[in-house]
Amino acid sequence: MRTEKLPDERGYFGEFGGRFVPETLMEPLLQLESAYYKIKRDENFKKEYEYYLRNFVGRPTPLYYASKLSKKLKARIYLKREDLCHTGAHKINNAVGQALLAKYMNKKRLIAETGAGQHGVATATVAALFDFKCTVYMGEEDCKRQEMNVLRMKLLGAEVVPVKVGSRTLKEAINEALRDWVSHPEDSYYLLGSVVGPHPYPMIVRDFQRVIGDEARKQILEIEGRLPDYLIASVGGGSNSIGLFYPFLEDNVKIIGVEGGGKGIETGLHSASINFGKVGILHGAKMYLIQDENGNVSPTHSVSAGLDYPGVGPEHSYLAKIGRVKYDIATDDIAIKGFYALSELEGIIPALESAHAIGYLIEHRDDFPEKEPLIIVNLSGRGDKDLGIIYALWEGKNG
Amino acid sequence: MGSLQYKIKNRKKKLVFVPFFVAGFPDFKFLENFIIKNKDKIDILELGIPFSDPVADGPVLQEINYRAILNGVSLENTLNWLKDTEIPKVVDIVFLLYFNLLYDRLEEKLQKIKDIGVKGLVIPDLPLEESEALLPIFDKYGLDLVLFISPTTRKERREKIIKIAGSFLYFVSVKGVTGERDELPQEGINFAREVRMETDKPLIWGFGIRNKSQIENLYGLVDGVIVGSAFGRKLLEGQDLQSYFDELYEATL
Repeated sequence: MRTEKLPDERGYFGEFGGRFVPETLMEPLLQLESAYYKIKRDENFKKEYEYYLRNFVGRPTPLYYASKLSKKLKARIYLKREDLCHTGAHKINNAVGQALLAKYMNKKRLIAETGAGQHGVATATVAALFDFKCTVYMGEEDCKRQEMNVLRMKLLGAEVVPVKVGSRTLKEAINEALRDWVSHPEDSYYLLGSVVGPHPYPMIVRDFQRVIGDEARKQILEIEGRLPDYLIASVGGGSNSIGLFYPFLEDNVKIIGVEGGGKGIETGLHSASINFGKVGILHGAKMYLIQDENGNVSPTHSVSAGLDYPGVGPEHSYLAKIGRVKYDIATDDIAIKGFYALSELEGIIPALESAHAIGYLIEHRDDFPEKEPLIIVNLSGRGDKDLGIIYALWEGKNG
Repeated sequence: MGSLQYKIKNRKKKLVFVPFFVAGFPDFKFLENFIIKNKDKIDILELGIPFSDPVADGPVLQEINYRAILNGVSLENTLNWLKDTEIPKVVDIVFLLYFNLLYDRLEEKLQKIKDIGVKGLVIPDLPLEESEALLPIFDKYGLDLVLFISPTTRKERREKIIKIAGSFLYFVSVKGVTGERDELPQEGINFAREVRMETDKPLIWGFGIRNKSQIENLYGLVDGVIVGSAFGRKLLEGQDLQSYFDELYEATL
């Protein structure tokens, strides 16, 4: 199986992907694609991107042996510490890359959507760093769930626009960002934060996130002298997971993506697009999509705003379809268990998104036949942003 | 040449008048009465099927899409409604719908749409690249695919679009989403002049129309005009639609 060559020239990963956008956005997408292919071969761009990753973001991030969790689960578990990136999550890798691309394209303004606020913060950060104007769209519901991130974006000089339609979460934020871009295609650059959207975004975001997997692969070979048995990462749109998975796709490594199981599949309140959606088109791409029988996109739920999205990247859709990656789910409760466990055992408070991967591993350790499997878990972000949610749960339990 | 193209070309008036309504809003009965009453004024009826995520639409049509879905409007019950009315027999209809509403069981849906008597489809998120492979399927069901030309569409691309477009081209007059604007955009006027030189295919002007003088300024420039959000706003605000509708209609004579 060769996945390295995808997407094809039409932006497809097998049957998934493409460019389902209003005509006004086709020209901007074609320009973006050609600019991207140019800078991809440019040594100066590569040097600049690596300079900022090292000196601004703080890469490479450690691959940390979680000794107590390993002992508890009878496994050798390594955490890829994206939580130690500047701004607290992997999102900054992509934001730096795309901001440099926007600079190269002479754009003056960045537009972004955000769910949990991590991508919005990352975009506001690079806007400050590289002197762009910046507008971030964020669902009103997410603004409430993640108010500290709203404050951070404002401090960084960005305009934050709460989106007050529909479910008021990430999906609507992307709609609004697309509408802004349709209205300002010349001077504005849409800095999309996940491996979703029309081609070339799923490819660009993947390429700027693969540094996670490239580093992890080198690190595990140095430390353990062999490749891992498993990779595990949470999947919302799918940028942290594709970043870790991509460099291992041709290897003999088992890969598991964990979708948000929400309040349980039977309740219908989840965001497990691959497991319980069907193929559809949203935000410019064909992918697995949670939708009703009429083709309208259904409301989703996850305790973590970053996973609360009805679709999933076209490349993930493809990897699921061909069976290369196993996609499973972790409910809110399992994620919260993972959140507590990592905090107590390892002294690391994970983002609720990443806690889905940790919780899944704890819950499913017995499903792994190896006596002592070697596992890399992507710790995509730190949990500071989620303390309000955890606090509310405590109040609920103890109050 | 599609039947609509013939009709547009041989019109005995300045512009064809293409009102846009979202199916089932404010409700099916109101729309039916209004359309039947005004059947002789409507050259082509553009009927939108509501979608949860209408990214090409501005605030008025977003709100109407949202409310229509809450009212349970779908492609299926829109087709059932049309079947029981005179509308398809007395008015030429094109559907506007986002591609996800068609994607699943595509051919079954196209067959039903054809059977009702709908003439064409406007799919705002299906650009040239994605439509090429689907054209034979739309053809099979005799449905005209209406393609868009927008101010960002470059010349080489316009040539390709013009070549495969159906009865008319949906001329997007501004960079942006649907919604009323006070003036005709100069950018759009200049662009229409340029496109006019490149094709005989009818151009129907969309986006931004709300008053008579805008329509009058389109004489000789394009072949027709779509009015959507302006009517939608009247309906949302519960105001009288008829006199306003007549005023804009008369401007197309």
